[in-house]
Amino acid sequence: MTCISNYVMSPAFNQRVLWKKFKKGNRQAFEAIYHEYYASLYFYALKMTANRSLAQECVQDLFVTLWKTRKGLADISSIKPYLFKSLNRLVARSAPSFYGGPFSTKPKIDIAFSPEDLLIEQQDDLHKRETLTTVLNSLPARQKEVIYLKYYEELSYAEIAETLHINYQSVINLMYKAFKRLRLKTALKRLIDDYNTFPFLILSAELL
Amino acid sequence: MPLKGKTSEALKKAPTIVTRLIEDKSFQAWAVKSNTSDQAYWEEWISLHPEYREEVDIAAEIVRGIKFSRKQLSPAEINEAWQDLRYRIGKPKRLRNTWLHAASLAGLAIITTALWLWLGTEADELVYQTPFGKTASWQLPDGSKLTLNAHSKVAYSVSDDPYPIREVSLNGEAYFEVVHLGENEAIPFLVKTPDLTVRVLGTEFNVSTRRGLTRVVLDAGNVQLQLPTEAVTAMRPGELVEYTPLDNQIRKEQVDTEIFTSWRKHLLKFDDTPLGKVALVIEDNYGVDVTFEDPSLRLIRVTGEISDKNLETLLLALSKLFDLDIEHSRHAVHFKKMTKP
Repeated sequence: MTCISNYVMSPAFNQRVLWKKFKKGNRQAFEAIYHEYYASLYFYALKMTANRSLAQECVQDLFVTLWKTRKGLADISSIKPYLFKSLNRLVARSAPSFYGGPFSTKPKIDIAFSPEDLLIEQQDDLHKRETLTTVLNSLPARQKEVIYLKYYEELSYAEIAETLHINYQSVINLMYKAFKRLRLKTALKRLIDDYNTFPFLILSAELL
Repeated sequence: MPLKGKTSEALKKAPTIVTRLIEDKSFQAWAVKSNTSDQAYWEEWISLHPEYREEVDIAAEIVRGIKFSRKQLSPAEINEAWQDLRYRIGKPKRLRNTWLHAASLAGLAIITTALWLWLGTEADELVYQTPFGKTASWQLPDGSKLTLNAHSKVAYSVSDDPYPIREVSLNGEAYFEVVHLGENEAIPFLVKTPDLTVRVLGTEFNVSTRRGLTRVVLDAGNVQLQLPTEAVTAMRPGELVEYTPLDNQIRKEQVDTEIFTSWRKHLLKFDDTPLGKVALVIEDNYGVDVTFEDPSLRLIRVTGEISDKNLETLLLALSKLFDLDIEHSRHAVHFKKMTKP
């Protein structure tokens, strides 16, 4: 009995059912999906485009296309990575013509973090947040994307792989590279900052 | 524990060991210090594998992660976006009596008269209708003038019970020039849309009921709007009111009324209007499905007047103005960036 209720309650099952209903043209299901994921999708698009109207337009376009093409869509059990993947492609297609005019070469989608994005427990630690932001923003675009999807959107590694259309191990490799760099750069930045504030400290450290 | 017994040989590559570590429940617990029972194990493991010191540190940092403060949208913001989406996917409903679509404009007046004679016996109702891509004007029996935008339908009736009243029901978009009737007591003229009733005595105004939204724009005189909630709103010349029963909200603003009524002169007027909105007007008036190569094209701003004589002229003007390739088939229009300068 518990087995059945677990089955019904499982999020994967619910998502599959919701998606099936939506595919059959059920407006409530479509609306439920929209309300559930709109904010996440909007902020993801906003991070990639840095433009509110373009971000809104991309998300709306995604849903208009979903609705129009619902009959031919695949059956899926996890909605969020599917939507993220579609949005990612759409933004990649739209951003160049939006920013560079129709004939320009493609600028890369590049996520930029701001200190306000970071949650740091100590209230007065603005400096720490700024340092981390600078270091995060110096990472290659792909590494920033994985970090955003993992810690901001809380996607699993498998879901990130689906979203970015790369394999699972590549996601981990990107994470590894990102954190390796973060360690190095944070340490370096701290050293430079400390040097600017207390030049003698480095000196004394060197003497030791 | 999965890592137990693995030799250094099996875990050669750094990303491989990082993968194994971050997937390991016990390691995760240790990294966030939530479970002290794993502590001894991992400290021992680390001391046995000093060569992985860096990987362990990195894996632990990945598990601990970066804490972001997540932004939220208010339910009102999400709902506003949903209304916008609903409007976009709200395909114009095919009007009934579709056999009229085939009728040429010249033939319409005759058909209308025929309809009147045919329906008149029962319902005392006159029906006026336009197909996609055509507008038309008529004088109503009370002397008022009716201009119907493309793909629209009006049914006109007069009643004396309990008091004299002129009444039309509207689907689509129409411009009314209502004449004042009645000596002592003015005879009201009502425009009923699926969502509300516009009550007037003598005035000029535009009413549109496309996509589940009623929009009234007042050129001259006074009108009153009666909502299903029994609420009544008065309008003044130059005002626009939009209402949808979905959120039961009235939106009122001062506008350049020409923008909403110039269709009568076969002109579409735009004032910093996104191309995406122009596309919806095209869908409503010509019965085609408009798509864009990418969503950014919907954001192109349109200002000025474009001839709306027919779809070809309109599309040609848009393509010239904005360097667009426009593919046009019977039921579909697709906007693309011009491929070559």
